Parts: sequence; C-alpha cells; structure tokens
Amino acid sequence: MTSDKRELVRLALLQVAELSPVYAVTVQVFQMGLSMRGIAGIERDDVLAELTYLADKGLLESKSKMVSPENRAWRITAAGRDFLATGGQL
Amino acid sequence: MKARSDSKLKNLPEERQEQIIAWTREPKSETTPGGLQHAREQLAADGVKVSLRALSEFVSWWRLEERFSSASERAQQFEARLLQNPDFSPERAREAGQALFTMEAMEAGDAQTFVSLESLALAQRSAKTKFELEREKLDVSKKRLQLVTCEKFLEWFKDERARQIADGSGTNAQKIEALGQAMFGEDW
Repeated sequence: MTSDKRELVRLALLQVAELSPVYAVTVQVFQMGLSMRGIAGIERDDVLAELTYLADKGLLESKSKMVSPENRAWRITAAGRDFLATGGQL
Repeated sequence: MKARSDSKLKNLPEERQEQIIAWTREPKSETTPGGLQHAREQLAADGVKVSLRALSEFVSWWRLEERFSSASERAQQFEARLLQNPDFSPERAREAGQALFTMEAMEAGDAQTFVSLESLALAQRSAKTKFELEREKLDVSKKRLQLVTCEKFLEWFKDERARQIADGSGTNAQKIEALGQAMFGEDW
C-alpha cells in the first residue's frame, strides 16, 4: 500500500466506525465498509494493522468480548469523532 | 483547512439526503443524463455545487449509513427482547445484540437463524429455570411436611386419646382413621 492509499484507508476506517455509535465493528464489517466506500481489495491483515494504528492514536478503541475474543471489534472514540468533525489529517 | 464538499451533503436534513439519493436512481433518458450527473444538476439548480466525486462519496456513505442504521435498530430491538427475561444478563444480551448487528451489517443470510436459535436457547433456559423453581417448591413442601409431622407427633404423644389409639388393637389403617377423627374432628 502506498502512503497515500494508507491514509485514505485509515480515514475511511474512521468514517465506517463513526456510522456505528452503539455496536463495535469487526474487521470483516470494516472490509465490507471499505468496499462500499469504493476501497476494495484491502487484505484482512492490512485492515487489522491500520485499525491497530488508529487505536494506538486513540481514535478507535478495541472492545473486549467474552465470546470469541479472537474476533476483535472496534468503536470510534470521542477523539475519533472530533478528528473527523474537524477534518483532521493523519 | 478546506472543508470537504461531501460533508455539505452529509449535514443536510434526512429528507433532502433521500431526495438526492432518489435523483441518483433516475435512469438515463432523452431528457436527463440520469444517475450522479442528474443529481448534480438538480443540486446545482438549488444552488448547491458539488463535484461528481463528492456526490459519489456521499452516495456510498449514505448506503453504508442506512445499512448500519437498520442493523443497529434490529439488534437493539432483539437485545431489548432478551432483557425482558431476568435470566439474561445485560452483558449476555449485549453480546447477542453485537453478534446480530455484525450479521445484519454483513447481510449474512443466517441472521434470522441466529435470532431463532437465541430465542430457543432463551426459552430452554426459562423452562429450566421454571423446572428448578418447581423442584425447589417441592423440596420446601417436603421439608415443611416433615417438620409438621414431627411437631404433631410431639403434640399427640402428650395426648392420652392419641396414645390409646396408637397402642390399641386394629390395623394401621384403622388406627390412622381413628387418630384422624380424634385429632381433626370434622376437618378429617
């Protein structure tokens, strides 16, 4: 992935997460969301890497699950919402 | 920092957004280019200038937003139903709601099956709980009967009539009948 594309993917991931205020979003749903946003063909591991990056930045948070904790899910944080609202740059 | 023009559209009232989507669904004809171009022209006529790219992004955002919104609504309704049963903890209900949201968002065909299975599991848990409650009631009744029996024995042992009946001749059934009549009178 080029750095430009990576930035696009990161922003799109945040936008996807923003659309689910109640429930956390799994990697699979993020991939679907990216595809619907016109960003297809991003491998699961790459999506996971970018989600981890965004979580490290405090823009997403990983939600723990009792059942199948290996299927991680993420929610956008208040900082993530503010970032999108102010048109921030990654 | 320059605001992205697709955010203009995302901040429009819902009815207006739906109108834009309806415009994008217009087929191409002799009178209209249809699709995104048609929507762009309609917006321009209303004084709203957007690029085709921004419009395309808006449409993809809107579709995703609709899908998530529907999935979330169904999952929350399902969660609320589960919470009506005290056997279902809020955590368990949320996990089930989360799983349903994921399936609905992916439009996985087995979302309804999931709901049915969870409802069946819930009914089974409820039946098990009812059974356990009934068994508990029986245990309590049995214990109570034992206590009353012991109380009555001590009470009747002091009663001369009762001792005479117990020590007297006759079958066990006859003694029980005599004792019952002696001790309970008309209530026997």
